[in-house]
Amino acid sequence: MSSVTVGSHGHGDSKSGHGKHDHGHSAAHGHADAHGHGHAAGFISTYVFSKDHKVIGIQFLFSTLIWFLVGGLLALAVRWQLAWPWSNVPLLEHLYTAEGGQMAPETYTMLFTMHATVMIFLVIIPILAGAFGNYLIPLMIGADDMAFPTLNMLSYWFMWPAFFFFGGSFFTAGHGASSGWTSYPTLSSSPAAAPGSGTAQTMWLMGLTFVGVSSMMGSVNYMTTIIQMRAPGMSMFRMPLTIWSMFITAVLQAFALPVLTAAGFMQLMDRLWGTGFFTPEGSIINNTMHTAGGGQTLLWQHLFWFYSHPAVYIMILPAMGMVSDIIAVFARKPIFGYKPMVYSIAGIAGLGFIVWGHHMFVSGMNPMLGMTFMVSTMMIALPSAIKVFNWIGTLWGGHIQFATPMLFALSFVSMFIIGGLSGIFMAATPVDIFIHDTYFIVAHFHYVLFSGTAMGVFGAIYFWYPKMFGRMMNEGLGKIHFATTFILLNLVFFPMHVLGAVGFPRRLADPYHYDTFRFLKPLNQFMTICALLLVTVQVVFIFNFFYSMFFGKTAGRNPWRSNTLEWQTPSPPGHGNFDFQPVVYRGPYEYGSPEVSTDFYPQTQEPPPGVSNPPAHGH
Amino acid sequence: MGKIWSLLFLLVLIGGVGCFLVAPSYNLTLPQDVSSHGHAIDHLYVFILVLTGVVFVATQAVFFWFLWKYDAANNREPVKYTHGSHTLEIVWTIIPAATLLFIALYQMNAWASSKMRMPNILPTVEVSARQFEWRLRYPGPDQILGTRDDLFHVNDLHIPVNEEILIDLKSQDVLHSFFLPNLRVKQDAVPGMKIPVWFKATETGSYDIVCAELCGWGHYKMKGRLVVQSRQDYDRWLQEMYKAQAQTASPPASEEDN
Amino acid sequence: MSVEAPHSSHDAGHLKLEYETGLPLTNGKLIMWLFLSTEIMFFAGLIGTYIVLRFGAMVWPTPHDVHLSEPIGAINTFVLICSSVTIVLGFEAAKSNRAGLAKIWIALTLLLGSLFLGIKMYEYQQKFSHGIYPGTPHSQIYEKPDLYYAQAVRERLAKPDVQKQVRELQAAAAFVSFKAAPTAAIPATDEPATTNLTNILSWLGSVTDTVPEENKAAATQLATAKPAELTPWFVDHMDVNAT
Ligand code: HEA
Ligand code: HEA
Ligand code: CUA
Ligand SMILES: [Cu+2]
Repeated sequence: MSSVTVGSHGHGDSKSGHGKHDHGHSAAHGHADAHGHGHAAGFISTYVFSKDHKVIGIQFLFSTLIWFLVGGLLALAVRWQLAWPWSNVPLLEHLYTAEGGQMAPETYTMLFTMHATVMIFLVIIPILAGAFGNYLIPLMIGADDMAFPTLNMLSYWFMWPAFFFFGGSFFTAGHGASSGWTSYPTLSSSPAAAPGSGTAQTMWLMGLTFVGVSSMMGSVNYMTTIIQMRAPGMSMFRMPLTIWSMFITAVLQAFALPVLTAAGFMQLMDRLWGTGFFTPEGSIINNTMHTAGGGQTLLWQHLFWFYSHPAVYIMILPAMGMVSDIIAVFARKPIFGYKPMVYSIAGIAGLGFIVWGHHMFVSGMNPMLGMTFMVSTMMIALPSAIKVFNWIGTLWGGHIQFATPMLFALSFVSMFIIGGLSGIFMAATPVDIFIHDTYFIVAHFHYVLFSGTAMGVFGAIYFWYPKMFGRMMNEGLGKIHFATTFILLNLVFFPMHVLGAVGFPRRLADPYHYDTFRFLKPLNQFMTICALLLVTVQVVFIFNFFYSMFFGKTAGRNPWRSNTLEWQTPSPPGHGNFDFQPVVYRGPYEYGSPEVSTDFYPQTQEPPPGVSNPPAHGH
Repeated sequence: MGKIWSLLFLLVLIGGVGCFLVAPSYNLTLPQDVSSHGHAIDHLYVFILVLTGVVFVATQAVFFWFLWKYDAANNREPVKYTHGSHTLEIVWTIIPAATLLFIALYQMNAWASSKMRMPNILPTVEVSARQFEWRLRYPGPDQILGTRDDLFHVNDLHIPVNEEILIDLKSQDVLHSFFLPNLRVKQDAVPGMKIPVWFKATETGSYDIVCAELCGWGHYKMKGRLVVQSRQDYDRWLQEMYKAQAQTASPPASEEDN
Repeated sequence: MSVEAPHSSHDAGHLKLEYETGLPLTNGKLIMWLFLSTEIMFFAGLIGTYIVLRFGAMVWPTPHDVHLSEPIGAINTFVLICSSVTIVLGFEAAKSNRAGLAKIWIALTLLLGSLFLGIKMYEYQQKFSHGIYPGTPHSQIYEKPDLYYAQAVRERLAKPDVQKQVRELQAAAAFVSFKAAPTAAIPATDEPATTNLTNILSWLGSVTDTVPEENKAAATQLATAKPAELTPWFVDHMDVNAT
């Protein structure tokens, strides 16, 4: 293992401890004592219906991790069918409909739909904004909680109806929605169109609505908190990039999601009340005549992608922010180009609103419009490029410590480049004619979503775990988890690029009866085996996660010798977060600053005498 | 240890490039192209592959190098305490911007010829997708679609070689997508819309028609066959079809019409 | 939505922190404005849809078609706006401690609110009495579109006697005399029978508009018939609720 740095660093701790004493009021210590008694409020209000952002964050974390496992298992079932089509699925035999233990074709459509639904709406979005957003925002800006703790609590509990609807839909006819996570009408809007388009689709839409309400509650709360509750001296441009990315993600959520909610309502009405927003006249779907008509099928796609394109950035920006923080800490260097980083986050968000049409190049949309969307899509690669170069710039000349969180963060950068570059192929409209709806797309989004965001999230878990639970995760196990996951995920997802180049279509239960694709089966079997291993090695993580909670090395306040505010609080922080009044004197990335002898320089540490570095008030 | 981790990241570079270099020898590359416009798409694909390949190699190589060189375990130099560089930011904004703009402009022609410059001819055939088959309707002897002498057929699309083909694409129920991998054609069939699709096949033979948009449980088996024939063979096939249909259809109706 | 004062009772115990605020607003005002701006996007979605559908439609029902009285609708909108004004005036009066005035405004608001509901009731009553409800009846050949059903049909149709029924159905198709009767469009019976049945039925539906005028009624009836209306050929053999 690398010679560096995990474990609690006595001197790091005492250092920040000094920082605390420098401006800690005696009241703070008094409080720390009184603290224990404050918890008499009872188990329910402390751990279940808690209004404490930290508890809510951890609730989000646990819920989403459990769904992550569900999503992973669904992916395995998908992979199984792709490798050994129509063979009996082990273990799960009894759960599938149809002849013997073999998977029915509609079950396959359900599997990838629910896989994507779970991964996107119940894992990635809530783990980023819900778990880490909740946990980190108040801590990193020096607030004692969110601006509206009750609203915050509700935003978690509004996920439960969504869990119920998505989870319950597995037990309805068709065993779950099965018109893809994109739910294109008229397949989704006509209950007759597919087995999963009955009750299951209605439940899917209800679930989506609740996820939407939850996100909306969260996002307005985050924005208010970040705007109004920063510690003295924490000007906007002294905020860590994690907070910037959470802030801009909240803006994206607040302004893109309502459109999807509206579209969802309209699809519900089409389904339940016989309206025809998305159904043109004269369609006869699976023998069912639709009397209402006059609707436009493509309209849904526009509304859906108007949300879901910004949503893909909702699914990556927070990870980018957290990765930036992790990289700066373990490179022991200031982040390269802090302001360009901030502007590029904003740029991605802004441009993100005008590129949605790139999902619809061959949908029948006006080709002229396709051309405009192509240009804007090309341009959105620019802010991403700036970010990538700045991350690499941050590594330049640092003292890189290969701790587990850093390895995951590095892999985020490396993998995001792959996922981003494949986006360029698809943004090129003529190429997209060929690769649209092939595995090239599947490769693209798994590289950005799994190899990118999910790896970033793993990094963030390893990084902030000591703060959340007061103990370190095991480094050795962490590194095993990293190495195996990293290698296996590339073996699963990289070949998808070449599959896509052959034209291998996605969403096909059995693509091998096409002459063009028959020879791809062995490669798919190889990928499936790797995917099976990939999910299996997560056991190491699950073990580490729970084992360390009880037996991990105790972490001091600041095990990574980091600058940001959350690390100056106790691990885990008590109710109200800070046992001193944080005052911020500088930006978050002053590593290796010549002003101090240590290689880090917490934001709250008063500058040594003679250095003019006054707290910046009133920005 | 840092070195090993750096090498792991170098593996991404080697594996990625290696994969794309080796793949063609296993046929894992664009399938045979038998269309007149396909080479423009293929060219663009290869062009972007090379360009992104260069970006990929460059970024991953520098990435690896920095990890290798600045590993805390052997880097004895002090940390370079810097907050960034204006010049660099400008350089790495302008260069990608110019590259991307170039790609954007460079591809417009291929797009226009695939989707915007519709040939001014009568439709050869109407393809109407439904769960889970391709309904075909040829105009019949009068060359006009929608009249009573139209020929009906399912899943088996015959076209003449080396002639511009115009297809009216429709859907009767849900979304489908008309995908001809070997002709670099893909177009969604949208209920309520009639979308023109055109191409020219340059080699005779039989090719797959794939449904590329999820359309329900039978999506995977919504397979058709495209038969590209010489003009004579095609005419003969049409004649046979027409005779077969005339026999089975109710005779008075067709006579009235002609 | 909960609009509570920040740091209400729950955290009485701990250190009171100082903040740097970005905007000279209370948190409650800020979050409410943010919430309202998200609603703008919600309605942008709905209104955008309306615009797209309205301008994309070949015909659009006139107010008369849908029994809408525009003047009544306009008056109701005005009533609604007035009630917003009166409630604000009531609030202002309450703030300046003029209880009497406040009561008057609030009463007026209540009155306007009831008037609004009354007019709405009248409007809905007009619709209902003309048979306009949400959820027009669909003409469905079967109602439970799930796999079990298809499975059941598949099994039944595999039986020889049902094969006969299918041919009868084909004969019925000939009976309504489709001039262009495209037998080619009905594949021969080597495919599993489900496809066949569904093919026939939906093909019947899809060609109704090319059917000669005199047979249109019959064709439409056949194409959109409920199972019960299709007796005797196959309803006996098709258990609609089979699961
Ligand atoms: C986190 C999620 C995420 C992210 C960040 C992205 C990022 C990008 N995506 Fe992706 N995308 C998805 C998730 C994401 N996407 C998903 C889920 C789908 C499929 C949905 C479905 O159909 O189910 C999809 C589909 C999708 C399509 C539709 C394809 C199709 O269906 O036919 C397109 C087309 O343009 C596209 C483009 C892009 C581009 C250009 C970027 C850019 O932002 C990438 C920019 C980054 C880089 C380019 C790399 C770094 C830059 C450099 C190293 C600099 C130098 C580079 C150059 C000069 C080229 N994406
Ligand atoms: C964030 C999003 C995300 C993630 C993480 C994944 C992860 C995976 N996905 Fe998926 N996928 C999508 C989003 C995602 N996917 C989307 C949007 C689609 C498109 C669907 C559509 O077409 O509509 C798709 C479709 C899709 C397909 C294409 C199906 C088709 O088109 O026919 C395939 C096929 O191989 C696939 C495979 C996998 C595999 C093998 C993984 C593996 O990486 C999974 C590995 C799983 C784990 C590693 C789980 C680990 C769990 C833990 C670590 C939890 C620990 C728990 C505790 C501590 C309590 N996915
Ligand atoms: Cu038709 Cu998929
Ligand atoms: Cu997109």
